Amino acid sequence: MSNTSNSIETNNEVMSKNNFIENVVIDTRYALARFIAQPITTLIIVLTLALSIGATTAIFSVVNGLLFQATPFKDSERLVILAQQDLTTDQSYGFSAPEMLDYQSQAQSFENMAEIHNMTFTMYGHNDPIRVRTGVVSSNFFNMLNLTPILGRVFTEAEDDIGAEPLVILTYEFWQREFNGQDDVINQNVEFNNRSHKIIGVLPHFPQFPAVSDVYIAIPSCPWRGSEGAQSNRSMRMMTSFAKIKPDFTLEDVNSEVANIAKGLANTYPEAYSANADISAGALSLHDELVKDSRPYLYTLLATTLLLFLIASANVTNLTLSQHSKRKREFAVRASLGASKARLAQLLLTESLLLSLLGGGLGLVFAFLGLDFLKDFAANFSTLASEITIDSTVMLFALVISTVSGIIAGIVPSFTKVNLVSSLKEGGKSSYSTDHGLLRNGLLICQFALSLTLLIAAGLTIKSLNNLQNIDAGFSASNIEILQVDLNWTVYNNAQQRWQISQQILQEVRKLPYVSSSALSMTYPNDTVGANYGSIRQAIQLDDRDFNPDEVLPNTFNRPITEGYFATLDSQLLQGRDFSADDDDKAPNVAIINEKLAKKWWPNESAINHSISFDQGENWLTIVGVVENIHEQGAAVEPSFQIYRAMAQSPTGHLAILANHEGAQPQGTQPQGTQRHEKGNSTFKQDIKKIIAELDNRQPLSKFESLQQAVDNSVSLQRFLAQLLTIFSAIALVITISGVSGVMSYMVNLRTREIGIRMAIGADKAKVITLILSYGIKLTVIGLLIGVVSAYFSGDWLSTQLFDIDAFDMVIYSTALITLLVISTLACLLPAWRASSIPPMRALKSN
Amino acid sequence: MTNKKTLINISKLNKIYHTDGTATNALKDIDITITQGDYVTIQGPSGGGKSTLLSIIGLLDKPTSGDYQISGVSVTKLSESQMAKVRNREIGFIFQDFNLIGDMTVSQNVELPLIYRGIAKATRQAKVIEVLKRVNMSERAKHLPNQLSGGQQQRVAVARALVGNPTLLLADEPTGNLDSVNGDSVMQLLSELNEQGVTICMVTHDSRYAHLSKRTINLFDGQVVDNTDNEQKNGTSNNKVDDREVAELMPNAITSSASSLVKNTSTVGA
Ligand SMILES: Nc1ncnc2c1ncn2[C@@H]1O[C@H](COP(=O)(O)OP(=O)(O)O)[C@@H](O)[C@H]1O
Ligand SMILES: [Mg+2]
Repeated sequence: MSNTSNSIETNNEVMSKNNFIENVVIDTRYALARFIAQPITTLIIVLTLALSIGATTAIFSVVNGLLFQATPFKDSERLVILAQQDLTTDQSYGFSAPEMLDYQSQAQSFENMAEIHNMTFTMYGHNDPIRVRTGVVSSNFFNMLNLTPILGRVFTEAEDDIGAEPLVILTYEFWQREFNGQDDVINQNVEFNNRSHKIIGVLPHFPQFPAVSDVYIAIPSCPWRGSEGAQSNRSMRMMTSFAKIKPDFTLEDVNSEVANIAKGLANTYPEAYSANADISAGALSLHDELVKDSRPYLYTLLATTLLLFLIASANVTNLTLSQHSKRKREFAVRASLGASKARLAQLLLTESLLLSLLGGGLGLVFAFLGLDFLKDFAANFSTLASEITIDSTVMLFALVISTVSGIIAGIVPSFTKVNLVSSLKEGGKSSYSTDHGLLRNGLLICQFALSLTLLIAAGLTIKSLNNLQNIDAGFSASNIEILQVDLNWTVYNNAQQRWQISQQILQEVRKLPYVSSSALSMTYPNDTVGANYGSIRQAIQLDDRDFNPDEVLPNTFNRPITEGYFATLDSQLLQGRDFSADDDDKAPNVAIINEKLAKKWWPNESAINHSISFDQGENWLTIVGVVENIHEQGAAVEPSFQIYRAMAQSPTGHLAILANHEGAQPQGTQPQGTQRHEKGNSTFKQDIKKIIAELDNRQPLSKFESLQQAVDNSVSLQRFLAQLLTIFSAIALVITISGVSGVMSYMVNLRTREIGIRMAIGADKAKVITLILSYGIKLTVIGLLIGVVSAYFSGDWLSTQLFDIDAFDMVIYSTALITLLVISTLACLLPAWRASSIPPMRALKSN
Repeated sequence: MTNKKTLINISKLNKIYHTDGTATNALKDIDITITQGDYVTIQGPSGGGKSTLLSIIGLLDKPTSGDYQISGVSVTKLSESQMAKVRNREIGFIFQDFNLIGDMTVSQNVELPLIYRGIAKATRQAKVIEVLKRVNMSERAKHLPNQLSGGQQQRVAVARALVGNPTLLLADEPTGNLDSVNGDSVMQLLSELNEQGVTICMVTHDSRYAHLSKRTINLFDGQVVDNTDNEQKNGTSNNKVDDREVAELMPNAITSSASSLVKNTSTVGA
């Protein structure tokens, strides 16, 4: 004993070095035994963590895949996308072939310039003819993106020359889908545009930009790009171009250089630009271009899941505190046996970290299960969505947040001031208030506040989606089936042939017994393919004023339709008449314009019988009708200026066949709406396939969809957002319920004796229940009041991001408040009932 | 006694509890010496300060003032972790309600002080087996505490207190929760241990057991009122009766002779 102080010094060192690992092993073993002995509490903690860590990690995997990971191309930080702009109108343009050559020869700041434009062609010679999304690229395109084909080869420079042999390269996905991933595709021939193309390679999977293609062909294989006109016409700016910055140059260098080149070209070739144009050019990093639309959504979601994570961490900390209070005696015994504070803290931390790592592991599994859903979501704003994975960065993230929550929950109870003597005597049965009561209540209040915030955010998102879907878009989507056909241009190469087959198709469709109305058009509302067809970029001459070539209306579209289009869509003609069969190619040219355009041009008089000209007075179209505004690009987007033309007078190769089967019951046996709908859909599909096959069996069909699907797809991003927020707030709700019932049960346990005394001196059941309940409700109400304030701030931000909502919404706020209040009351009721049902004698003995 | 080494030396020790504005003087100017191999019983009425004294001796609590030395080293200024170390190496505790850790087996409970001391696993296991044999609990090594009777639990607690070869064994009413048969056997065990050289300091209000010890200290209202050497009295039954009177009469009605001993009016805390 004489060496008391010496032994203390030396042992400190021995302990920390040799025994740390063994201590961890011992603590771990003990912790696992405890978890098994208390499966319910363990399960609640692990699940709470798993749900929140899973949600946070899943969203992080999207953020990581889109924003943090480099674009999966070699030297991707040096890859840029170039664009020309007209600063006067703020319009963006691609490049024409001659411009590409000029930029390439003048620019010093980048090595290489690759081009791409997207076409859709019909492919013959392999199974049925199909429409194939085709990227037309220069040979250096693959090299620049560092893509090595998994089979065969890519194009050589010589194959860029006009007149080279037609070749095609398949994407990985197309090869899998159409050729079952067979190796012998190389050197097989398929037919595009009346020419045989040899398959020379298969690409690996890669995030495609600017659009997803099925196959890639070289410049000379494209009938348009290979044509004399495209080679020489400076104003046919159809190409997107990529460039790779030279190692010693910066993005700014490229920006200023291409802006100068653009100005020089505009001076040299003024005829290639509209008057008054102020031409410039710029570069955007490929990565920024790929993800630019995703940021606000991703940050909203990441913030949401972090809220969820906070709620869960508060809950777990609270549960751990309750556990710790019950274990006061155990810890006092350990201390009496010589465990230092640090040693006890280590035990608590080990237990807590074990739980949080278990939760984190399970959370990763949840994140993995939700990955496909999130990829679909992310595909709404970036082609990089396909690159989202649970990679090592995401796993590290999950590990870090699990560890953080484990450390918080493990360390907070260590700060308890433990009175060893009384803990050893009473076994930790102390009063609630001296037992972290304040901290515990504070954590619960935070949970309520955060849950309310989440719930209200979800409510606002749902309301926004609802507003979006319920807005009067100027048409009714129900019962309309659509088939898109892109007429094979090598067969239907003049207006007359195109109109002839269009007319025949329409005639046959109208014979179908269940079709109540039908029409043809070039595009239709929420059509993702044809939305930008028929864009008018020149000034239009009006009959009652002088022509001003600078007066170019933005967002003006030419929409060829047949008669019956508005009736099929249930859109209202406000003035004049619909087209009729008499408005054919021999009759005077007619047009119907939408209300917005009519008001723009003739605010004080009727537009009917006015005439307009697209060619400065050579041909005139008489306005015969004014139709209500149709939201063509989703309800959130303002209607554009629309000029409808009689299809007979303006035939198109892009046909949409719209058939309304309202009120029709093909078999007369399906009473329910959805069944009838599906029946209508599949019957229509089959019938129209037959019609077209009979008219031309080499004409492929492009796309089937119902108008309702098109409308739904147009809000899919908002719907995903609403679904995610609903899932997250449901998780928050569940966690908060477990939190409030945990805290209340614990409080009731501590106050059992007090309750016994109260009942012994005459309190009845109702009084006891009221006592407990009022305590819980008091905490809830404080939490909710704070929550209203934080919900208002989050709502304020959401209102800037979402369609048509205000930060405050009476219905949503009160629904969320009542929901939480009711749920919390129910969660308190159970422990209150239990407390009131304990026989007073037992309650009194409980100490 | 003169040739024995002084183990515990307490002088002018005071402990004052402050609760809600009232101060409870639980120990007043206590002077106690315990030598190696001693067997001391602390007796006295409830609230007399017995447990408080034992907690301070066991370094579970700190005195308000006064000096406390173990083997000549003052321990009143030790840090919290140094106190833990001393508890671990020098002191073994036995409690009234056993205080075994419920989710641990008998051998895990007994092993715990050795783990905290950082002893290698092989040594630990050997020591646990040895000490369980010593308290006759070898067969129950893999049992959980709630699978044992009270007496058995207390034997395990004794084993746990002994396993690290402490210089001092402290026991606060070790028989308080046991029936007489089990109580007797635990007391028998303590006597044997003392014969084997273990220094014991025990609080009990059961005067039947006081005669087993070598010395009895009577605490009344925080003060030592009697410090009797039982070996010199040679186990006469006289002071057993005295003890019982003090123990049983004082809490109920403070007799005039007793109240004359009270210097400060003290408040009995809740
Ligand atoms: N933690 C404490 N706070 C306040 N007073 C206490 C505390 N512990 C003990 N006391 C008081 O100190 C006195 C001595 O108590 P204690 O040592 O437990 O006596 P005994 O063990 O002899 O019954 C009593 O008056 C008791 O009320
Ligand atoms: Mg006591």
